[in-house]
Amino acid sequence: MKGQVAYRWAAVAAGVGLLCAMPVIASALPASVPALTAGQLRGRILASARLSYAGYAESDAAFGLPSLPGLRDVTSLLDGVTKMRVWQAAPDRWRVDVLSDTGERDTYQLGRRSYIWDSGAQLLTEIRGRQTLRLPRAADLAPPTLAQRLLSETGRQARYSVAPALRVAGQAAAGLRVTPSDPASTIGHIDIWADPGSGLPLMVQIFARGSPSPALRSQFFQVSSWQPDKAVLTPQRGPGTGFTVTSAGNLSGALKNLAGMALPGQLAGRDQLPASQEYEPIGVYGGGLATFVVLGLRGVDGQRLITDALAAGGTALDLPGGGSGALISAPLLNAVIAQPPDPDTVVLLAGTVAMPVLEQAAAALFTEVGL
Amino acid sequence: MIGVELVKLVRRPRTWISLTLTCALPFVVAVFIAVTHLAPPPGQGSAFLYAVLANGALYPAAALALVLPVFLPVTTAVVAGDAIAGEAATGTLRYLLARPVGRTRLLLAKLISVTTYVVLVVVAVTVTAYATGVLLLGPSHAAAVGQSPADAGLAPTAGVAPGGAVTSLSGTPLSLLQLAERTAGAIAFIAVSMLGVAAIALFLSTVTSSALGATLGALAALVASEILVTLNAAAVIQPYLPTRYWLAWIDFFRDPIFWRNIDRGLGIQAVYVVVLLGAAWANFSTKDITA
Amino acid sequence: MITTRALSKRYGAIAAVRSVDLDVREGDRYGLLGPNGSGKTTLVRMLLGLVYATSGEIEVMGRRMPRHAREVLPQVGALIEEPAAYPHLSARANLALFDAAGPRRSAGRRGRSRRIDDALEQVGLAGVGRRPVKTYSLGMRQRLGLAAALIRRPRLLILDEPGNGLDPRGIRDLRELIIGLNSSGVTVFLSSHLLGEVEQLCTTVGVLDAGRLVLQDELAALRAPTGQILLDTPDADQVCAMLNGQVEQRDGQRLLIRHADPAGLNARLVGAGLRVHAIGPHRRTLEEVVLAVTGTGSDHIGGRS
Repeated sequence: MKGQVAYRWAAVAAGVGLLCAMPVIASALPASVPALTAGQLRGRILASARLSYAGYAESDAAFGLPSLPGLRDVTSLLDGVTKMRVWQAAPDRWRVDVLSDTGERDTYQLGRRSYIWDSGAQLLTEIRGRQTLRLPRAADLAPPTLAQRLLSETGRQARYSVAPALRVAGQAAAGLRVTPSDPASTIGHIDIWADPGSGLPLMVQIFARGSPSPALRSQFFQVSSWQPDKAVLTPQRGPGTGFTVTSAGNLSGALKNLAGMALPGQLAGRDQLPASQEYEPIGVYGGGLATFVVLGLRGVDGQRLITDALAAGGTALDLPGGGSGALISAPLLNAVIAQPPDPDTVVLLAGTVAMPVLEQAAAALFTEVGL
Repeated sequence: MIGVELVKLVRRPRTWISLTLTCALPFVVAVFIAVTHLAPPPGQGSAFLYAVLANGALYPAAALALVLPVFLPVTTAVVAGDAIAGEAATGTLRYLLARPVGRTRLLLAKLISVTTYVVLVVVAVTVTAYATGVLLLGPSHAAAVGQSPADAGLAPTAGVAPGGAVTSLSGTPLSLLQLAERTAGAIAFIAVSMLGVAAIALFLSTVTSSALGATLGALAALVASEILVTLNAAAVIQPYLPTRYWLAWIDFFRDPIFWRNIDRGLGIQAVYVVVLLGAAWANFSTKDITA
Repeated sequence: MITTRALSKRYGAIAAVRSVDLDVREGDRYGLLGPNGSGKTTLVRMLLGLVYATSGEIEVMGRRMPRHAREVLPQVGALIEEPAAYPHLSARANLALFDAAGPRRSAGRRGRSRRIDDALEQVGLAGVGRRPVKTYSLGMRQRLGLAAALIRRPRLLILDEPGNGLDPRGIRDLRELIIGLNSSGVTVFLSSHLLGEVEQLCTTVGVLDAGRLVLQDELAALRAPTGQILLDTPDADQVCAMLNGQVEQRDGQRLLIRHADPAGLNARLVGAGLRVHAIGPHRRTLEEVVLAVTGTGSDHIGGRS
């Protein structure tokens, strides 16, 4: 019987070993992709924007931002895992569901109209009008959207190289590494893996400078090309649900109390981007992977932001000329919230640039512009 | 032998007592909600409970969400933990084996018996919950039944009237037929989810001669798994945890149905059943029966 | 019916059964004697395939066990230590379940119902078969256990301590039942620590001591005349004088004399005018036989290692 016992347990152990090894074997399958230069791959990725696809993606972000009241929707997106179902028929016709264990928050884009369904509130909201300014949302984190935005904004201000191929969502994916050329960028490099044939981005990893693990990883776990289905892309109302219509301008939430400011054309040696000049309260400076925004917040809201930032682990800041404020430093993102001696307006500077650049910009705002 | 085990299951008072108690919990909840008209707001409390006042037809789903975290695993672990250890403790195990009943056959018969029990409980909960939901809670929107979701809710223009019988998690209307199909899917998925627990308890039941020990062991494994599932640091092993995809039955009520986690949930349960039944077989079929 | 060769069982460092060569022939009423802890139960469980031997071979009805359990065990009825039943079910329901378990028999439901009736009748539970077993007394449960062993009309009965829990009347019923079954062709193998029970019931005796089978023989052979005569006489002194040298032991009026022919001795004593209360060939009791081979008294555990 001794031998029998051993043989039976050996059979069970072999079975367990095989089952446990299956995922490992599956992910270790060689990913062979055709030889593409970095430029070719970048071109294919940029050309993939019109593809129709459906899939399931997760983004895992570790920006290490303090959780700021009023910005919780954004900070939760940038810290922790966001689970998304994505259907895209065209760049302006898509649907992204953000899944939680017992509910979901769905965004539909139908041409110029968009809808948000919130299962917690049982409310379908229609948004009319173009949003010139909005906070980041989950749909921005889907690998294709994120990768295409990063590549199109980076332009020539980065070096491109080939990264080793990987298997993502069961497919062989060709890798592209983007390294910013501006030494002031907080971004070390960005890795994008895409289907070598269609160019559809399957995974994006953003590394902070000097960090071995990505601050943001967005990855498909399941994706395939998709025959657009109107029933999926069209929001429908079930019984007992609410419906409202709102215009895009009302949606900015935390951004609604912006103070208009006369912004200089150059800050800390960086030019204001022309695209941002049409929307007055906000200035975007730099470009590519070293960009920062400047905006002014009115009165009480701004002061509360400083208090919250200090309470959430920010560092106190003193500026020349009697200004004060707070610094928030996260691996990928730095922010300065500064209050001039005249307490009516608070200035927020945030971006993927090194802290000295932001401090310099804040000081320049106060001294040169005379806020 | 399977027939014998089913007869034992059916003629055992414990089966019917635990079944009644499990069905009683959703009933009590329904009575309170019906009397006070206070359902938890959406996004709070147990899944789907917010919607049952508006539509009692959704109560089976809410009832499943109520019994899934504790009642179902506990009763399953009790029945499965008792399977071999209980027979050993009363001494009937040695008489069954001397009949002779093959040991592998006995294990399989026990697993089938436990599975039958789980299905019985889940179906009973669903049926009683549907009855209580329709009788005590909101009426179902009978008028909207048969309206196809396409013409009911297509909303390129704002403010179209809602249609369908109930609302899916994605906000879309579902007809009663769709609701029935999806509830059936959820029932099947939950029943399969319990098989992992059953397999753990059944394996432990072949190891110890204490039914209580086997039951508590299986529950301890479940609690450990539940804790690890919520722990981000344990993400590496989470796909292997038996409770990782337990909540995936909710995905039946998304629109379109989200199959990924459902498939994985079925897969992981199959793996647990195969591995633990294999371990139970390896242990039990060569074990000296001294009890 | 049952043969084992060099059958041994170790539990870790403890040897429960050591190289036992059992030989139970068809038609035997075989009694396995031994103190508690001598390995009886382990031996019985090995015969039934419940406990796996460490080494050695077992044949039951000419087939190797436990490999051929499926063919052998349906023809074996067994009582293994205490009886066991599902307490919330009636005796009839219990018997039906036990009968339905295991390999299918050609006998259908009707056959089963009749066999249940017969078995309950045989053990004297015919009137109470529909009561839940949890209301049964210890003796009734023992009878039910016997009924479960009998329900398949086995060719071989293996009974481990069958007298447990029975009152004197129950023990007499049991003895009659076993003798009756045996005379209709059923081989009986029973284990017991009660010498008297085995002595009254069995035709063959095996003695297990600290896991070893120290004795195995027919009862008749064990109890054959010893070549001595047991004499009870009021004239013990004179007898001793007359048979000087032949008296091996004296205990008051009782003398043990080395002599082959009781009738001849009686005639000689009476011829010499000596009075005789009783005279007969000397036979050893089973107790003496067992004590002689096991050395120390029962319940000793010193010999186990």
